Amino acid sequence: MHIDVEQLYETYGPMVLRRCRFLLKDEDKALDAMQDVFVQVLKKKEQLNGTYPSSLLFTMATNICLNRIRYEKRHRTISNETVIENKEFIDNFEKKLEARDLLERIFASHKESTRLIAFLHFVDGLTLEEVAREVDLSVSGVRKRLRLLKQTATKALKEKSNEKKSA
Amino acid sequence: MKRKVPDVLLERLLLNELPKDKARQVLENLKKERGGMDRLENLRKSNRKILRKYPAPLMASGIKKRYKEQKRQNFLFKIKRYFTARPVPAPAFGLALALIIFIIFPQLLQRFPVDEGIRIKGGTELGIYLKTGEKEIKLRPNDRVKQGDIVQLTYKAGDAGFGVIFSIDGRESVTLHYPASRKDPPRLEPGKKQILKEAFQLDDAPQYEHFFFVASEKKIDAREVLGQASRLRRTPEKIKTEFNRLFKKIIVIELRLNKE
Repeated sequence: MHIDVEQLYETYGPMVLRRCRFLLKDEDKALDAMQDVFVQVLKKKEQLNGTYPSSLLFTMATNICLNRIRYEKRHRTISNETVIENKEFIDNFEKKLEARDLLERIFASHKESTRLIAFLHFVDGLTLEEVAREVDLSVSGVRKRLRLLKQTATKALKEKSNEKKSA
Repeated sequence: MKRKVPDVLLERLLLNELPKDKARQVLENLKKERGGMDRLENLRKSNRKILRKYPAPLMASGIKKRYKEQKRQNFLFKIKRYFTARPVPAPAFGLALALIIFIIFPQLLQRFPVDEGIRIKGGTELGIYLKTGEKEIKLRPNDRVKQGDIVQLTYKAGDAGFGVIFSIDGRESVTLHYPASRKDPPRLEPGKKQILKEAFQLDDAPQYEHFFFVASEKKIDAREVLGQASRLRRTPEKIKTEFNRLFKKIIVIELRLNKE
């Protein structure tokens, strides 16, 4: 299947870039992620046969950006030595680490796509039906995933609060 | 409270990629939403702005270039994996040899220039910072530190793909700093300088704290590195020479701090 990249970008590029900007909050990173989204599309040409390519591109952009955010949080990079001298960075480091660990703990036992489902529902505000369409699952499947996630989150928060009490 | 029309639905409405019923419903909701129709118009404006700033011919060429580069990398990776993951059948040996000599080896040479036959070059760095109140001070070899000081380590992989960071103190204790556990694969993060997750506080061990960064283009085993470090813990000054003898194609960066 031949893909006209220029045409594809002209149609969907702005949407993908806006999505990446929204998630990554950085123009350069968003631009880079956007290009990766189109590279993924070229690699998975056959998936583009659907009636609405925007759905696939939007989901791909969300996934790529969420993975990048997760990667950056795990491997915090410093671009130069001045960053490490930033007091706020040092002060907030522990708090961020704690919050990140909690999120990682919550999502660890769930499927990779649950992160996307949770984001689309809780952050983007899609209904269960809309999420189901985006991720190609049944509504009951999405509901079940979110219910299990909620259970894990409640348990993790309880444990966290108990840890604090005993400390 | 009526929910705001999600961005994704707005985008798809503009692209005319919603089923008819859904499109009608979204448009109705948008009309009811305060400033809803403005959102749609803003999206149109944003489209024009983005395409002006990042024109399609330019972006398409960048995307194609990136796609080709990734395809080439995957191809090389598959060849490498094929011949390292299973016994090579005799007829394939000639082909493998030709590939290695004419394709893979020249590329590896380009990526990892060989120095004196055993070391790799290319910006591998170890950074040690002392946290003092509001400031972080970069420590140099033989700088003086004391019990209770908080130290933060950073590294830059350069051309190395794997690495182990450890230290030996005046009590001859070996401490692993990277990877987090000796069982973890010591894969280094490429690119920018990486800050290790945890800073640590120096204890009351006397005389010195000697740090080592053992980096390599090839996979190394943290357990093996630590085993050898433990064997040589009484003479850390000999570790660099000994490691270069024991391990192939590694680079050892060391930094000794003196204790007050």
